[in-house]
Formats: sequence, structure tokens, C-alpha cells
Amino acid sequence: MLPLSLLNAAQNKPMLVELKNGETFNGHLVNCDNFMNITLREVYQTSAEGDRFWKLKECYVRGSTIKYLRVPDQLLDSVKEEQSRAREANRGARGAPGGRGGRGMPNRGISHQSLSTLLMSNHSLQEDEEEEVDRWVGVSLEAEDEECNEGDQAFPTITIRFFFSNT
Amino acid sequence: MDSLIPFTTSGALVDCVDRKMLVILRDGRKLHGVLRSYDQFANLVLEDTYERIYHQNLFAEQHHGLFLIRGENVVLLGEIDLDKEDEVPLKQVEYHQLEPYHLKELEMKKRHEEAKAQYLFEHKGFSREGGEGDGY
Repeated sequence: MLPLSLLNAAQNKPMLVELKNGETFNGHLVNCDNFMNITLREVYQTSAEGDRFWKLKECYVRGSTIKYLRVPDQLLDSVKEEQSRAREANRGARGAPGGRGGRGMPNRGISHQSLSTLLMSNHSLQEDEEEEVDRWVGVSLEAEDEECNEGDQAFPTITIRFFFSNT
Repeated sequence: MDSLIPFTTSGALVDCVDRKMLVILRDGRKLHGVLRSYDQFANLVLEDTYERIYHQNLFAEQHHGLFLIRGENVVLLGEIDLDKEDEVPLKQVEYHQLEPYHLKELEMKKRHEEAKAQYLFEHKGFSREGGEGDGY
């Protein structure tokens, strides 16, 4: 939960915004963007000294002028709940009937030889470092077939683990 | 694993998440709270925040709740040692009792700064503080 997604989740919630110059704005968040620019409605503005007040129907605050925002305590909990619900829903959709099994490639499909070629190309090793690759004692492959759904291409999720020798 | 995250900018804050932290802002405010989240700008989310003010050997707290601090206003972020937290040789008093002294102190500091700026401007060829764009 990044700070700005918390702000996003605070839409329509009451908040207090203090600017760098000390002025404060009390109101409900209407909208915000990734620059932290915000619009508020039903705003009470307070001067930096706290001795003058204004009532504004609506206001826009440029993100770069903000010192901090105070948001309701319950927001953090509700956002966490929201996130876990979304994750749950996502998982439910993926595990739909017929979605399992799939047509994943068998994990025996990649030989040790072709894997070292792949590794070399990925790490752009020099010719004389080829020997180095052979010294990576173990390379284990795990294909997780059940992750492949009907709609997926025939690319199983592959976990590659390297075991280095110290010699 | 640790070595994968470079000790630069906000990468250094990973270990601070869910810890009780002290944040000092550019305006001198001291906030204590649990760091819940941060991003690449070091914008911070602090939970259960309270502000502390000090005067001589007294201090007072005011509870503020959930805070979202824009990173550029942060001067310092430090972890609070929970074992030593209560060992401070200061006496806690009610906020409303200490606040007037704190405000007076702030006012004095401000006047001192103004006098200094005025002197630097008149005698040392400095530019004036608080010119256009200076506040940001």
C-alpha cells in the first residue's frame, strides 16, 4: 500500500491538508493524481497563524505545495480489507472450472545443454567464460503446470534455481 | 537478500516498515509514529502519530492519528528504541500546559532568524529571505 494509493483510497473521505506555508485546508477529498495534486470540497481554510478562516466550496491544491495530509484512522484498515478482497476475487476468477490442467509444456523439455546456452545469452558471457557456466553445479527446473490456464499460451511458469559451487 | 536492495534513497527504508519511528519535518515538528509505507520520494505513511513538543526538561504529546507526509518535507527519519524509549530524563506534562511556552519559543526563534536575515542583508550583502519562490 503505497502512500499515493492510500490517498487515492481516501476519496470522499474528510482530511486535513497542511501546506508548506502553514495554511491548512479541512475538507472532503474529491480527486487526486500521482503528483499529489488534490481537489477538495466544503473546505475550511485556516491561515498559518491560525487566526483567520475562510470557507470555500471547492478548492484545488497543487501537490508540490503540500507538507502533509491527515486522513481518517480507519482508512488503513478499510484499504487493507479492500485489497485482500480484490486478491480473493482475482484468485476465484483464475480458478474457474476448466481453467486448471492446461497445456503446459512438460518440464523435461529443456535440456541442461540448451539451458546453459540460454543463460549465456542472457548474461552475455564471453567465449572464454563458457567454462564458468559448467561450474554452476546444479540447475534445477520446476515447471508449475497447474498455473497454466486454457487461455494462456503454452508457457508454463518455470522456476530456475542455481546452485553455485565454492570451488 | 539484503544485498539486493541498494542502500540508496528509499531502499534504505525497507527495514523501517512497521517500526516506531521519529520523523522531524523541515518546520521543526517532531512526529512519532509507526511507519506503514513509503515510496520512491520517501513520502511516508505514519500510523498512530503523535506530535511531541519540548520546553526545557518537559515534554508533551498530542495525538494526531494517520499521517501522509510528503517526502520533501522530511529532515530526519529515525527508529525509536522501544527498550530505551521510556528512559528519557524528561517529565511529561499536559499538552495544553506546555503549548504556550512552546509557541513563545517558536516566536522567539522566528524573530531571531528575522534579525539575523536583516543583518546579513544590510551588512553582509546577502539576499533577503522569503523572496519570490523561496517558500517552496
